Amino acid sequence: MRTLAEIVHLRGATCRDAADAIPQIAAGEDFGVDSGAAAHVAVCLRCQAEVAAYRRVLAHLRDLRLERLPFPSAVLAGTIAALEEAETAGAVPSWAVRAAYVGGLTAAGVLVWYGSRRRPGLLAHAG
Amino acid sequence: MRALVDAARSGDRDALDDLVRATYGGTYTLAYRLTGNEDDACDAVQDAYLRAWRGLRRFRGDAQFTTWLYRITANCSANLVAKRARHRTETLGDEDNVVDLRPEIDPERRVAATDERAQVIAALAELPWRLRQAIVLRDIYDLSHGAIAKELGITEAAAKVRLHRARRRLRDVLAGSAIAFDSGIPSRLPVAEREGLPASEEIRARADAG
Repeated sequence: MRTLAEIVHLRGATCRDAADAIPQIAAGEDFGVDSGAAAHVAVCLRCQAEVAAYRRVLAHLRDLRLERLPFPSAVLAGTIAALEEAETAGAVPSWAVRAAYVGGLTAAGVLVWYGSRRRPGLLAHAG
Repeated sequence: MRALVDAARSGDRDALDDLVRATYGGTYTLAYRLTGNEDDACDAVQDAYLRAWRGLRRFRGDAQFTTWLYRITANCSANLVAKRARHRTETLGDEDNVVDLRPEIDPERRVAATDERAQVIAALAELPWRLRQAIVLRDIYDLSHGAIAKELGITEAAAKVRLHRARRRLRDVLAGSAIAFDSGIPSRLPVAEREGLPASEEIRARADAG
């Protein structure tokens, strides 16, 4: 059962109060839709006409998804060229990979040696 | 499309080129709708394909390839427009009422158009870019609120608030047009929106969440 305040709220909404909610109601989404506004729209023919109008807007927007705008042919070629350039730049020679691997192992060895010098028992405990 | 994607993921150079050609029209169209001009759209699309190529091996195929590519395009477009906006602010200082001289923005063309669809397209182009992004991603490309939030770098609540404001603004722009919205009951836009200034979506979302 509704309270008096709720009844006043639901019956008190006007077209102006409901205007903000019309796009959301048309989209079938409840975010930002006040219950009083929704109740008003349900019984107001003027607001229902607004909802129908916005539904036409949404239908036109949905149709735009299939539309393909013309683009300059040079930009497509430029994008493909940029991908080729990125692919070439990203290719790492095998000698560089081996050098990085050896360098990493060396660095790790140095760290372990330095740690054992500072704490002689470290390696014994680790074993 | 699936075969092209799989071939491109395995390193087939020709397949990658074919994939770009097959999807370029849709990607460019999305970027153009988000950025509002050809030059920015071209830059955003190139960034998008480079990012997509780098992440192609991680693409799991649990969503449609075009949906995944559109999300990357949305993110690249948003980053590009935000960068341009920051640059314009830094260049122009505190000037508020800057006339938009882009040829795509033509309120007179919108008023003159008798076709509903043409009026919707023209009205969409008139929206501030933050609001236009929300409408394009949700109402044209049907991205979820969560996906929109992720690509625009905002919370989901903020994405819903922005979409709500965008739809209200679109309705106001279309008032009196062939769509025949009743201009006697305008939506109540806060002053910040009427001035075209960005509002804090996070603050507004928290207020709406109560």
